[in-house]
Amino acid sequence: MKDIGNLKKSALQAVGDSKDVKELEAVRVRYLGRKDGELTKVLRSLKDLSVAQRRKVGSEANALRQDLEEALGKKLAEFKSKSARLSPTLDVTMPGEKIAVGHLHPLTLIENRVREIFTGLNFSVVEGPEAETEHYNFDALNIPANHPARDMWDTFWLPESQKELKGKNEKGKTGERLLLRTHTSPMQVRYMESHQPPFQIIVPGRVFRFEATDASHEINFHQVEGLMVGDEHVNLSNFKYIITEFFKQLFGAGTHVRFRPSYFPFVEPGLEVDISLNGKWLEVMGAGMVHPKVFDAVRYNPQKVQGFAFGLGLERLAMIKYKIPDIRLFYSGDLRFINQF
Amino acid sequence: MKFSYTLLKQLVPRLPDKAGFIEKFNLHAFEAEDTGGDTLEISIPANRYSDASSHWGIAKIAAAIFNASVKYFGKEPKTELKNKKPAIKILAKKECRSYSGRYFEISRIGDSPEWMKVILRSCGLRPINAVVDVMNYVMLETGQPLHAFDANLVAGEIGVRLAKRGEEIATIDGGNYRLDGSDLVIADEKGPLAIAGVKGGKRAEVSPATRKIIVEAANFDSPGIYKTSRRLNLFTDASARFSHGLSLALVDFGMRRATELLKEICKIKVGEVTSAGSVKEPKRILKFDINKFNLLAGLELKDGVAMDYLKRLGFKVTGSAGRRLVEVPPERTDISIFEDLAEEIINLYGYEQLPANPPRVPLVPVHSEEGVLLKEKVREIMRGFGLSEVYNYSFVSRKQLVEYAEPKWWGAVSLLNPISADFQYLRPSLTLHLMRNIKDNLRFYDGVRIFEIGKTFVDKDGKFEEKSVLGAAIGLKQENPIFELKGVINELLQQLGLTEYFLRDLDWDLRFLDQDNSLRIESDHQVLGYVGLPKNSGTMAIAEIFLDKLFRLVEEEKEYEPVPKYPSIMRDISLLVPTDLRVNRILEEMQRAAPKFLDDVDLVDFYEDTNLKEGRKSLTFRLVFQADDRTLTDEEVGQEMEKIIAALTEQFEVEVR
Repeated sequence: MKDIGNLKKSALQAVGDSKDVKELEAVRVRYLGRKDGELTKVLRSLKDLSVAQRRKVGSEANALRQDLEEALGKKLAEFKSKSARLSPTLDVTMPGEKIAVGHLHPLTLIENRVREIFTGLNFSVVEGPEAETEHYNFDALNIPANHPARDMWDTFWLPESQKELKGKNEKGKTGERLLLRTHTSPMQVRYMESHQPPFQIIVPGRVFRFEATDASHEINFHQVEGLMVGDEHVNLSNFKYIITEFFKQLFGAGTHVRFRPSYFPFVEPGLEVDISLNGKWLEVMGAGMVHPKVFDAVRYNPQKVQGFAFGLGLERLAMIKYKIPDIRLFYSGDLRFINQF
Repeated sequence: MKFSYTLLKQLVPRLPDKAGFIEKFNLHAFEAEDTGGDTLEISIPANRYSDASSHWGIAKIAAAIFNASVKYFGKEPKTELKNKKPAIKILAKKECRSYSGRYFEISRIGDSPEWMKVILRSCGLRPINAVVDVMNYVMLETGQPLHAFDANLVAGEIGVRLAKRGEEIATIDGGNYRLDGSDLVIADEKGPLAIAGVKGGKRAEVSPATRKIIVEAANFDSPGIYKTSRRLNLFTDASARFSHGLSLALVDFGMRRATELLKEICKIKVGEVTSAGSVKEPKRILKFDINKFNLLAGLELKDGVAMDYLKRLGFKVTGSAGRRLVEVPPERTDISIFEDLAEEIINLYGYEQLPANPPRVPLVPVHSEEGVLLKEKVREIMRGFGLSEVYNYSFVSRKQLVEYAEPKWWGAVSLLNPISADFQYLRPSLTLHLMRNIKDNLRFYDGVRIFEIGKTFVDKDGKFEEKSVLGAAIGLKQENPIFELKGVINELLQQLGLTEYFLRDLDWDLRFLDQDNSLRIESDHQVLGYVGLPKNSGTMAIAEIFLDKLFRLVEEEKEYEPVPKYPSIMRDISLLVPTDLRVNRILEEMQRAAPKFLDDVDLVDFYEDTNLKEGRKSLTFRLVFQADDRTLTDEEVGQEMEKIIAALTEQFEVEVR
């Protein structure tokens, strides 16, 4: 059994004498190496000692190990700082370390930007369920059943609907059938049912369409709904102001925005918004003044309130902003795509 | 819908060239596009088929835009064959609002003239013979679908009735259809002659040998035609128009124009007309107040200007400014309220001229829903930890589910009308797609770190549940990623402000997870999620956290805790323990043995080695002792260590090394 004191002396000496990282590592192995380290052997032999001896030698040996580790660490840090700062051969043009970073999905980035702009325009952000009832998705939005107008929204139906339908049909009610919402517009109704004007909201969220996929169509995609309701002073020219401002903030101050007539059953007048890109007009938004029948459905007095609503597709905006050619890339889960953003 | 520019130009001689027309029409009416040659593609809005699914309708709108006039055809014809008229009876009064038939005699059926063929072809129709072509042409021109029967092949009275269940009909395009009790038919004594509003039947089809003709023009209830057309999957130019709903006024207009053209082209002899049902739309008169309009639009338009726009579109205006009465043209079935009139005016005025004014409203502070803010925060934290965000489909296939368990175990909800087998079920968990993402991406990377925030859907004992979930997955080619992911989850929960939570043995029948190597995340007696290793997935770790539960538990406010005034004391302890003894249990035991001064314990070294005893592993812990009111003495710490060692050796088969 070596004397712990001597061991300590020689070990600390060796640490002090080592001239580079390599030598220092050799010292570490000599004393603390897992197999044959001198101090390791001492520690390992403890079990053969009597209890009293074990306690004495054990605590001394453990203290030495701590001291030694500390001295090794200090010396190593010294070498490192020297080599980094003082090495005469330092080449600062060597590549920097690779910092591991994550990337947000481009649809999140565009949604964040949309929320930021509208928050700046004093719009609040709310969300709604992705599985909806026929009532909120269609009926309350003045989209009649058994009319081709509904073909504008090809729908995925959920099975509960059948059960429900059987029960309800006898009373002639069908509005409780469940579906995957085809647009974010149902939140107009839900929000107005529980809030009183004036208010401005946007509703980002995922929506679903039963349609064949291609480079510009997906079975699920994302929309942002907007709704501003107040007294009779919330008008179409206000809509034009808000939306022009939005697109200029999103695509740059020089962006050209065009408004033209369109039809959606839950607005009147209804219109569509285009922006100009490389001399081409691109459709980016549907909108209009909230239809009095929608106000009726939420028990507002259409004589006393007025407002506008709009909806835009996030994929479309992201495709325009980031020049993404195919909508299906968003759902590929491919990091070679996502890590570009 | 396809239109012929040539015909539009005939109806509105002052129409500008094609490009000029399209540009203005887009800005003031509907989407229009040049599809080459004489053809224009115009999108007719779903509420405008009655007045605008015809050249005459488009011409009227164009005339209003360009302030021009429209030529009008369809004079009242002279009857040459007195007392010769078809017998007609409407039996289904709700389904058929109006039905007119006129009798004709013809000496020869030849081809239609070249000008008509050109227009038919521009609109995508194939010329057949003069009579059939006139029927089609008049539909294109007036919007009223028409049909001609060979009068000799019609047996007795023509009736409009609901089909008998199982009744069959062979149509002129060679189709055979079995009808339902809700389908409407035009029938004689022998049976159906046509599927009303959809397609004519073969039995009384007009052929070159036909010498006596009955031409029908009718108006049907739109939902019925729409349903039949969808059910039979039979979509025609006529059914498209009837499905959207047409004005009664078109019946008479279409019949007059057809008669005029048959006379002109086929030298036909005109018999009398039989009309059943109503023939006129009731008058609709709306109030209009220019002040109300200006409030809606944010304009200061003069009453006279607004009324001029309405008059150009065929509205009749009476009364004085502020108290106008406006009579709606009968074919404008879309107009029923003040806002509809406002739209007509603003469309003609043009959005280009509309000013953009900032709103003047009470300032109400904005707020974002807590769920929205939480998701944003989670995304930022995960990104900061080096995880990238993926978006996956909300749908999964049966195959993906049954790799681990039956759909019923998952509570997976099957769509009534899935688009394909790959997308049959709503995703009951984010896991399945994330595992696939890891595998796909490991082809290109040595390490893949991803997360997704999205909705999952399950049928839980007959109740439909939609949940907001965070999913995270790490796949590493070289090492086991479970501890990295566990670290991510720990740090995420702490950064979100969740103070009390535990990672416990899974003890939860999640079939896609390796039970022994997975943990559940618990807080306030609620399961917040899990983290673990999926079955048969190689070096991949996965976690899900239920955000709806989480956001009710996190405390936004952080509270300052005094920085310790006195130094802490560290002690390391190495233990040789059975390989199946879990670190979690040792940690719990340590805390229990020395609750007063033991501030923190960390595992600093771990190894299994052939040098060790069989079935043993070596663990080194760093214990930190701390008192609030003084520096602990070596002796005190020694006593605490003794207690801990005593407790460990008593509880487990451990050796202190």
